[in-house]
Amino acid sequence: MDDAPERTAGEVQLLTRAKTGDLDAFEQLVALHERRVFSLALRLTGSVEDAKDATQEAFLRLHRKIRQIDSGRGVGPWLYSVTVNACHDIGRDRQRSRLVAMENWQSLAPADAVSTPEDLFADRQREERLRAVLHRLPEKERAALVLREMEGLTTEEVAHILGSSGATVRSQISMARLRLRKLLRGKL
Amino acid sequence: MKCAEFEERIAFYAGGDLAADQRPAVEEHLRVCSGCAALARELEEDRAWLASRPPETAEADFAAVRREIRRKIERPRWIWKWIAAAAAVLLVCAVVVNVRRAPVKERPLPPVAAQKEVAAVIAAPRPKEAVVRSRVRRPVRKVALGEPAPQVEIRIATRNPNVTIILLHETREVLQ
Repeated sequence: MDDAPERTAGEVQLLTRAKTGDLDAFEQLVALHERRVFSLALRLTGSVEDAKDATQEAFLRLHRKIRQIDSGRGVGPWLYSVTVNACHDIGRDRQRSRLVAMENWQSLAPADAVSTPEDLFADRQREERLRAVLHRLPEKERAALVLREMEGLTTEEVAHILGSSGATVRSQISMARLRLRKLLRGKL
Repeated sequence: MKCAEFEERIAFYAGGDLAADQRPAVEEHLRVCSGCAALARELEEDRAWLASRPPETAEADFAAVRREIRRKIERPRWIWKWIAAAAAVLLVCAVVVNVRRAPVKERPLPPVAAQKEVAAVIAAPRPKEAVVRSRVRRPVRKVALGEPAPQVEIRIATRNPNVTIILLHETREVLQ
């Protein structure tokens, strides 16, 4: 989903080859985007297993629709959209949560540079708590917030991905910011 | 305007999503209200922290995920190949079974003379139905001209129980 110039040029070639049925090219395309897709899915679902399933599903949907994708735009925007939908479908199907434990709320101060094993462990804990906090947000607010604040998309891009109006998405994001603040500080 | 009413606007403001005409009022409130200023500061901190989080991928075995994706993509192709092969086998079996059930019996041809005889029978005009039936003529009595002719009534039932077709026929011959 990154659109660095060198990646985009390579992606266009891979996309063109993948459209002809070249599975190796498609696999390389998957390798380009899998980390972003998995990370987004993990933050939306709150579960590693669900995130793996959503990642697989997103790329399988990409494979099915690959001929419809505009090579000039790349697969990035399309993948965001299909990942959000895959996470929504998985969440709806499973109706259960495999969240990490929510006990011992601590202040989630911004992470500093990670260097020592202790820092790594602390960072892992922060990430797990972040996931847990995100999962307590309403689904649409969570998706809007993650896409806007963590993926760095504009409000208009988020609105396009979620199929909502800009005003709706702005409202969802602002509500999510307020809820997140309270959750992070144990006020909710 | 109370602080609670400012809260949502401050959340918009923190993300740069507040309409330009509403910004001065919010900024003025933040200057005079320490609580709302703290809220704005915390929202900014949260945004910065979220933005600083790298993609979370440590727990994923991406090679395995890729293998699974490839397997699922390739599986349908194999399924269709197996379905086609199975269909072909079934077709062959069906043909073999039908051929065995209804074998063509090769009858020896009759001698030439017999063939001619059969051909003559086939070519000959078929006798009329009346000839074929062996009817026994029952004795009948002719009704005299002055005498009222008896009627023969034939009732034909139809599928509709309310409808019956009645045929009336006058005859000059009465069975004795």
